Amino acid sequence: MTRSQTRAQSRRTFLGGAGAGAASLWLAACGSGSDEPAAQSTAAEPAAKSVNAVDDGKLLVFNWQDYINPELVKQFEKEHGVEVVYDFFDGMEAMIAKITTGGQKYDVVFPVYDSADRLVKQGLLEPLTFDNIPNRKYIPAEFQDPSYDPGSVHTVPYAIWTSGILFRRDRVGDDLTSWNDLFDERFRGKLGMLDNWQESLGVVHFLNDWDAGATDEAHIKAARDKLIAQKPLVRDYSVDDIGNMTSGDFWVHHGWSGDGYQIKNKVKDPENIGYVVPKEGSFAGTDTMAIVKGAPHKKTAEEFINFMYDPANSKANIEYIGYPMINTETQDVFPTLEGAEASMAVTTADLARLTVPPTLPREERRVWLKAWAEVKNS
Amino acid sequence: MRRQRFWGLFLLPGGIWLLVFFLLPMAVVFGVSVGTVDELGRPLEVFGVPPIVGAHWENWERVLDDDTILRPILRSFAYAGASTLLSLAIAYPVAYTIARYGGRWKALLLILVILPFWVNYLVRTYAWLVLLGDDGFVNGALDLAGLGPYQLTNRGLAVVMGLTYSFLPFMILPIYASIDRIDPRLIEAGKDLYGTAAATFRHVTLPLTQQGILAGCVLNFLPGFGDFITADLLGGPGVFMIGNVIQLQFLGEGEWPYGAVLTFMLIPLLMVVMVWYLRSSARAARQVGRA
Repeated sequence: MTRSQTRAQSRRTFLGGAGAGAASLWLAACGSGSDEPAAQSTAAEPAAKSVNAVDDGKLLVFNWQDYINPELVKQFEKEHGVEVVYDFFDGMEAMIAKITTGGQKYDVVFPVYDSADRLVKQGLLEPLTFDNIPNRKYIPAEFQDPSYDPGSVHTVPYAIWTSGILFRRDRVGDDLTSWNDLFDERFRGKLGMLDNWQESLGVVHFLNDWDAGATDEAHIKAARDKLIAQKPLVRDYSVDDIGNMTSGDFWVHHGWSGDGYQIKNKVKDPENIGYVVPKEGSFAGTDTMAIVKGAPHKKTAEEFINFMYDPANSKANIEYIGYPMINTETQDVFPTLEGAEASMAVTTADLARLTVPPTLPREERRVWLKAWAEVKNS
Repeated sequence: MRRQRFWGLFLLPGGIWLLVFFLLPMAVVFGVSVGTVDELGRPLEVFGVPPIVGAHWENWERVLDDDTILRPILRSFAYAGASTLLSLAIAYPVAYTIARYGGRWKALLLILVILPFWVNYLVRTYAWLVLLGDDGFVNGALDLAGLGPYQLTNRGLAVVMGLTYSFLPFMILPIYASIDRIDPRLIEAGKDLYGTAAATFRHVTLPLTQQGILAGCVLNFLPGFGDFITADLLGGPGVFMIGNVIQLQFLGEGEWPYGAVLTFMLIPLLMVVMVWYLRSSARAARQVGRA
């Protein structure tokens, strides 16, 4: 998905970070006094009207790579006479670092639900002008008041996903069912793990039937040790599961549901690409669309969100990204996708069945992040 | 007296540049290193109030307990060192050939050396991935010879090759300059004195190009040591360099203070290399002066 940021992206992101490093440190330093975290703004009323603060005919979108149908972006540009400037992130941490340090302005972002929660609580998302987003009426009832954004004031749900194992049938057969398969000696040098602390440490939690949404230091340390022991088998930690699986250098890849569909659309032998949500359980979640606080083109951003939520456009988007969009009018689209496999489908029932971790407070996140850094450093 | 003041003015632009783009940012980095972050990892209290009293030295204390950064530091030394040597081995013959036998093609050949830099780094790296992949051209060629396939990407070897490739021109150019500067009569003299080609090279050419070699090595080693892009793009799970560790503090974890501390930790390490270089080039300058 989404999470398929390409290698291309990482360089861009990193270079941007490196280049802007000194500048943003400086900005951070200067701004630190005035940057008080806003009081809980979850109860904020939607703003009455919105304007574009900057009138340069642009819209700045910040998203995972391969997570939107590029034809829709072109169509939006044509219909609204604007230029969409696209930038990509490779994880929530990088996204938050970039939108909060001020080096680059963004309008529309696509945070995962728990990051949306953190951004909302810190007052970093604009309340949406509901009048500009009439298509909000297609938000299903169960998403109109999500825990991460009470009242759906700041976000509109985008798509839902599961995590699992992507594999090549011609190389490894069709009987992968367990997270244990990611520790199989047969896949030495052909195995990819997601470069994501929660996903990768989470795998070991699922294997041991531990709650992957809870922060238990003993469990996290054990998960770290198991992943360090797994390293000789691993070819790369990467969120570019699409790029890696299409290169042929990987046979088995820890990855995300819709990316399986996208891989099928990119390889010559789509029938060989499979995906499984392991029997031990896995993560599922919702991604959202939101507008960054102080966005220079708020009005256009709201039009963009409205455009993406138009049922016809949502349908066209699902057909490209391979993730079901949370839109009452498109619930039946995914099963009809040519080539998509049943295992890649995600329904709101999966959100109840699988693990949707709560938003972790920073001190708990640090325990996870530290363990993951130790895996990578070793 | 007046005259000296005039020349002193020449230092002004460079001095201002260093102040604005080096010293001030370093001061900010230091401020971040003794600060704290908020719930989202944004730096707060950058300078503490007042600066030292109330500063969060625990960020600095953490580095002493953190034995997980040792491996990345050693890897950085190993990869940067290996790529510098490899680069030298490739660059010297190239520079020598261009300088001594380039003739009227010299300018063109030098342009060819830097030509790859006109192509986006990413595109070039992707080309590497295609060339070195399990089904890539290199393994295809090895297969014809009945060898392989070998996993060439996503490992330390690939990082060393990538670093070598990235910084090779910075080895070729200074060596080229030093060879080009040699008075050819000195080499002729070496041969006239019955020196073999090897002896002439060892006693005449090599000492005279020592400064170019040293400059090239420094220009390869220092940026290679701090590099993280190459390990990120070409590397695998076991190639994390110290640059990657630092980068992750900023963009991966919201641990800016610790990232800033690590940045400072590297300075003395790299200063050792720099001081060694400056001293040896000063010594060489004295020798030339005496000769």
